Amino acid sequence: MQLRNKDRMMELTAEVIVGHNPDLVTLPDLYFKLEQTIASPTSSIDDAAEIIHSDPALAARLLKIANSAFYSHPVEINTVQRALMLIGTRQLKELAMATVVIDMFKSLNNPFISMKDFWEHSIACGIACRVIAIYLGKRDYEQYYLAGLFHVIGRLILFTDFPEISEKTTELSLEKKIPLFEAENEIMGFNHANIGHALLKNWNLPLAQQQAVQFQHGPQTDIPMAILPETVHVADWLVNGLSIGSSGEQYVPPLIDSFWQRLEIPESALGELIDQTDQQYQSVAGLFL
Amino acid sequence: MSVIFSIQHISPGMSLADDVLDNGGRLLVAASTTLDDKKIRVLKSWGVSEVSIRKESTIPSTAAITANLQSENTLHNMNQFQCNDPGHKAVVEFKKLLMERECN
Repeated sequence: MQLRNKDRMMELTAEVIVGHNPDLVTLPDLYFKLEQTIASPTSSIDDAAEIIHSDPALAARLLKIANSAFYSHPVEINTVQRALMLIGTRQLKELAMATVVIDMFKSLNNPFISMKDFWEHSIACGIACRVIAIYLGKRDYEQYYLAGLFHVIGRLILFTDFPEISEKTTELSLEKKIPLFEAENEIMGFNHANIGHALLKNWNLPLAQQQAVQFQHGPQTDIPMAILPETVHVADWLVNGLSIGSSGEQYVPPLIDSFWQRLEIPESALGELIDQTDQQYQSVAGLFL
Repeated sequence: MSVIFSIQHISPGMSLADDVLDNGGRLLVAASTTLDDKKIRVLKSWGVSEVSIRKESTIPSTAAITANLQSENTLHNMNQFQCNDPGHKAVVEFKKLLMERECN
């Protein structure tokens, strides 16, 4: 698909879409400062806490999240330092990332979905990923949470910056009764997963998260032991079925059997996964939004 | 919570979540209105393609669910899951669980 840019035509790619909005190309400085501090062997928890305190809204929200049912710690956590010690710097970094990104996109309006619906869907998908990861005995479940949280962020950029294309994809999806990502494929030659992948790549997020977003609708990769794309796929399927929030998708995306098989979740466990997702979602959604 | 419905799939008894406006911003049908055949005709005649419906108003009665379960004709089967393989074990189980949740 061609895109008119000033007076010349250029090929529309996922990278072009991501590069179109300079505000989104990089993550805010605060996040990188935090990452550097956490990675440095000479810095202390106080250094990390100081960075978080430089954004009082972020500090307050992190404390709220640390005290929520999401972590269910028995004692109240009332300083950022204690939150860091109890939750761990890695997890706190990822919580900071989620809050920073939600804030970054807060002011972007689009005519297709409300920000509230979008993040409700995204947070629920993050939680569903985390629930599945815990069910499967994975220890790095925050990584699953973030992959789910960002799985459809590419569509938010498309909705915001390319409304004409988004109108066409939405219409085609309804007219042909196909999932929106397939309509995106038909019109653009790629879909929101490619845009999301390009964005996460720009942000230098871990490769596993980039791939989880990129391959969420297939094809299946053969990376041994890496089940992140499969988890995101199934989580998105569950959250669409539960109708929590909206990603602009009108249909429950088709469950890919090989993805389902790879996770080895018995059908009898579905009820438990849904209940867990729903309960955790109810307790945290308000903290982020 | 609200759900976007294509105009073909709305039915009497559903309640609008938002105002429905024409292209000029004029109010056609106000939010919270419970749709009847006449209002649905109005929406169709103005070329409205989809509307936002209050989720709770889409929940069919238990009798309707039972009837629909038999005819495989529920909202979920009709709209949401039509891109899924209806014979897949996980799809069957998920639909069953969703149906139970709607009844409760």
